Amino acid sequence: MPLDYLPAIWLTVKLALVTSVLLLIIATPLAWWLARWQSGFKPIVQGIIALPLVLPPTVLGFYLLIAFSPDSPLGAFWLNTFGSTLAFSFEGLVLGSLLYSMPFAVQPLYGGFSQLDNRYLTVAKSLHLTPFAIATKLVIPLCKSSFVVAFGLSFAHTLGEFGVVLMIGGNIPQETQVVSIALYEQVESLNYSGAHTLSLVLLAFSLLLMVVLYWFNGKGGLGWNSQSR
Amino acid sequence: MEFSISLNQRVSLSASFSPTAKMVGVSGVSGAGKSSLLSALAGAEASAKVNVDWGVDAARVGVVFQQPMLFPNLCVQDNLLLSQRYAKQGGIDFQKVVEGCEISELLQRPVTTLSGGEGQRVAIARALLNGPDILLLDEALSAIDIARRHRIYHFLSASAVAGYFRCLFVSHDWQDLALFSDALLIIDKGRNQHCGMTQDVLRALSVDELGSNPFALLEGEVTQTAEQSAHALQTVSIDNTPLFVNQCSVVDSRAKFVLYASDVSISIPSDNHSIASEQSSILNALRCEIKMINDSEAKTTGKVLLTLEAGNHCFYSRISVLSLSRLGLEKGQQVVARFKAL
Repeated sequence: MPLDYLPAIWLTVKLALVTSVLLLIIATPLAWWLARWQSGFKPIVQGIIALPLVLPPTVLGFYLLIAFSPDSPLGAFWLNTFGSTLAFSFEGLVLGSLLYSMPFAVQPLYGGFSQLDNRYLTVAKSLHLTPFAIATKLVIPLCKSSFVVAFGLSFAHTLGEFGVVLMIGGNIPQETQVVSIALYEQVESLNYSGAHTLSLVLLAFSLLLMVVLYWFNGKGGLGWNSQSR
Repeated sequence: MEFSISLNQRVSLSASFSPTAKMVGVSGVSGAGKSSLLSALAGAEASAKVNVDWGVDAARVGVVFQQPMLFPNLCVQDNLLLSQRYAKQGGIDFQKVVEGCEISELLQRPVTTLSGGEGQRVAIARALLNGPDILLLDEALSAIDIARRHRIYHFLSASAVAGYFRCLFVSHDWQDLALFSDALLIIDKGRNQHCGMTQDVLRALSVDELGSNPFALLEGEVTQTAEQSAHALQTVSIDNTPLFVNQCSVVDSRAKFVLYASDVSISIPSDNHSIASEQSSILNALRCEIKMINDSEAKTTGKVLLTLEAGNHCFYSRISVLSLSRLGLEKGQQVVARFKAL
């Protein structure tokens, strides 16, 4: 019954959506600062942000699990403030996904901001545009494609999350059971038709997302940055 | 207006200008530090130590680069309106700026379709509409053809005289600098080499410093404007001789024009009749005296440079060694300098 999988699909989409929106909010200032920061320590910060690209998700998940336990400062703070533990909760998944998908949001934005000709900003400042006007009239329109790519990649990457969720979320329906976990469970219980359905959903959706992203990128606004006038 | 700048040991200079200098030209060979200076004055060099007194409280400083840097996501008009929205009160009228920069036919165009010169004109208009007290131009007119460039310089100069702003403009074109600056700053290797009113600086410059084709800035009374004449040339009186001039800058019936050494030929006057009665297509003839003959390049280029004086005007002529010997020219000799209506 494909309808049985709807809660898992909805949870996955919700997780990806919340994560991508939060990531844009976090990654935009971070990438902006990083693109303008000149320091010998820059590679260290860049390395830390890029770590989830190469680290086995189970390693990240393991450390998060430790951090979520009520014995740790983060876990204790969360328990005292919200009265529940982070581990095995949707909020915990969001936090894990933020770290896990961080490089996919930061890298495109960092690239876009680095390519933005500094003289646009000099001119904008000399014209006394407010920082808000510089952001909305200049930076966001000029780096539009970077924002779209950052959002799309974070979204797609969070969709496919497995290892981190398994470590910190377990398999609680409607709370932490995302599509990839549900799929794993179907295979474990030898329900191959269910596994096929879930796999096909993830495959089709991810492919669609990637095609849309590449179509947009090929058509879209990256051209602005390379032009000086 | 005065400033002192130091930037990574590349640029280290201070300069000050009289309040009467509304248009200040900045010149120097490539890599002398002109752009770094302007960039530092615009506040775009984080590592620069800048100490500046513009002579205005809380001066608004506008800057225009050689690359127009128009916001590519907006059309020409929206670029202008965005700038005007953040302008101070009492700037130049929108329509006047559009006409002065000759961009009325460009307003609806997307910025990405503009040519280099068109973009530069829009960029200047955008800076003007923001109502700057100080306008910094870094080769900002370099891609505009000469006639239009001179008209825009005229417009800028007139606006500056009207008190809207003071302008510091970098140019590599000696004619533009000489015609449209009140004061000049010449930079060499990041240092202040010459600084002062334009005529004084040009007089203080040695021939070598005037570039490969030395020139003189001549100034005289306009006796007939181009509009009054049938031949579209200004008539300017120099040392009581009427000269016909095309490219010049006129302020209050005083005309300035630039005379390059390569444009001046020499002839020996025949004593009995007036020099003007000789048949020639070269319109202008001026009696003068040879003050100096510089033959330091005679061996390599086959040319010599004559320094000539007519009244209190001094200018140059570059002629071949062959002409020098054929005419038997000597220092102190009275000759006629001829040049086309420039």
